[in-house]
Amino acid sequence: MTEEERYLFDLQGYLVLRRVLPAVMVCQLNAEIDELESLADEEAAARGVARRHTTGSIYAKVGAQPEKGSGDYTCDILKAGGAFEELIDWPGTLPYIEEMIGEPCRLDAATFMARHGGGGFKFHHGYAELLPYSEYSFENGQFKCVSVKISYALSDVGVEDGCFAVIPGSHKSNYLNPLVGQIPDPNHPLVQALPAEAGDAILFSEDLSHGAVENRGCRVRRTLFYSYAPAFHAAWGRMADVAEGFERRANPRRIALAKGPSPFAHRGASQVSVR
Amino acid sequence: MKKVTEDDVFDLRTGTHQRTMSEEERHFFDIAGYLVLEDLLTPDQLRQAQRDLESLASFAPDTVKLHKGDFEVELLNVIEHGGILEDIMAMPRVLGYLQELIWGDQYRLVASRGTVRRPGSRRCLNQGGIADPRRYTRYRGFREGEFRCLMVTCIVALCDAAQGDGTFCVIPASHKSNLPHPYAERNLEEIVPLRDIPLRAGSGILYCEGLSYAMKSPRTRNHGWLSYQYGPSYMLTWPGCESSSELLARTARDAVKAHLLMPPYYHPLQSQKGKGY
Repeated sequence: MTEEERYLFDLQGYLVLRRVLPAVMVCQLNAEIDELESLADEEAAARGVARRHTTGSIYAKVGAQPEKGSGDYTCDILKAGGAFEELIDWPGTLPYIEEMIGEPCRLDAATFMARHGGGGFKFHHGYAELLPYSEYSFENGQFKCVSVKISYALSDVGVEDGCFAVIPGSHKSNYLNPLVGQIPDPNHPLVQALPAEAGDAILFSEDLSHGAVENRGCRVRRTLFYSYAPAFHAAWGRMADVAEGFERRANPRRIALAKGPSPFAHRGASQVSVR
Repeated sequence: MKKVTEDDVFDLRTGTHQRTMSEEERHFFDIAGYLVLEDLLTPDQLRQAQRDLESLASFAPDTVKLHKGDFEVELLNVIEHGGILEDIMAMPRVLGYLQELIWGDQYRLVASRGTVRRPGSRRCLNQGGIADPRRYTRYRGFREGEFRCLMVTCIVALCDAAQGDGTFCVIPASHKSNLPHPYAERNLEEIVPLRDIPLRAGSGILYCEGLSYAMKSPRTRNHGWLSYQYGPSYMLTWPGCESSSELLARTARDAVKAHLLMPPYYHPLQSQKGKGY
């Protein structure tokens, strides 16, 4: 990270990286999503990519759903294999993650999310300083975050399309966040809407208050979320499960990130009684 | 209309305001990084534990990892032995502390160990504090009066450990140290702030794993110790401490043990009131 990136991430709790995915990669990822969306729910589930429809989620505001197609949903995407596996150790983002976590880390979740017109996502986090697994931390001049996520835009998403939104600085908040549970209002003085073009990435501490403004357009917002944590953290349920044959296809770094490195081994461990 | 808060979605403040420790204990642990638990085991339990550890140290089943060094026999995953070695992991007195020190009910057993130490055995001083590279050991305490420690260890003496004789020793307050300790090359006896914690057999010490600690050499006879390490619900199991199907089967009807041996998780099942994300 550059000095400015380090400054901004510490200050605001997020970083926007433009065009980290080349157009050809975005096309490939979208093509694979298209193919998955051509399947019925049952067929997708049989492939291990079960859709969780977000109707009824207390976080999500669900708008008008299309008469055909999958509607608003999330799914664990690594079960689909393909290009999604390449993002596990994407060279444009992984070095940032490693610096933000500050020690050997693992992938703990990889999900895809589709949001249609009318949808939004309520603010969450950004006040829960007592929540141990999302902690933003900075020690001895190093970032020591315990949960950092990457939001990859697979479609252009402006404010009117329901873009990602944050409360900059909320990763350090000491007080209850009155905006939690609300759909982000892009006009609120604390709220920063973050429009993105397909291929952009937003890296953020999970401690940052984040959500998505209401999608007032008719374009579907497509986003991939890849989440990382220190090695001693468990994966989020099955959200980091990989597809069959992954270990034959993947490079060692990718395998190490997906499986998680040795959870209790650390640099300089010989100095201490790790036992 | 009631405003929806994050607490309505997840119990994100699990354990908040749960008080299971006295004010004096809370203050002591925050300042010193440990608590002494006198007479944790009854005389009967102590005898059983001594007998079982001795038996394991001479022959361990596959589910218990045995390492024989020149001066120490180390055993990993001792709860697999069953009996008292299994029961100690779930002592209500210890769990009451964990509830407040870790994260309400969201704690789990990460590792269980046994050690037989002979004269000549010694353990180096842990780094401890912020400089300790083992992130999973961090002490976390907040001005609101809430603890959210990562790894917390309960060590149990199976023999009397008098001053300077195989004692567990700590640098009090080192769990909060911002600087590395300067004692890497010193003998334990020469480290001024290192304090012995003499223990009667059957007593224990509950400590933040981020504390700088060591063990002195027993003088004349073997010393037996047990240690049980706990962490928040999402902390992985120590490699080699995975529960066997037999252990899971025999603890399935014991709610407390079954809770401790649950696979790692972030939020308990059903605690997420909505779906998705």
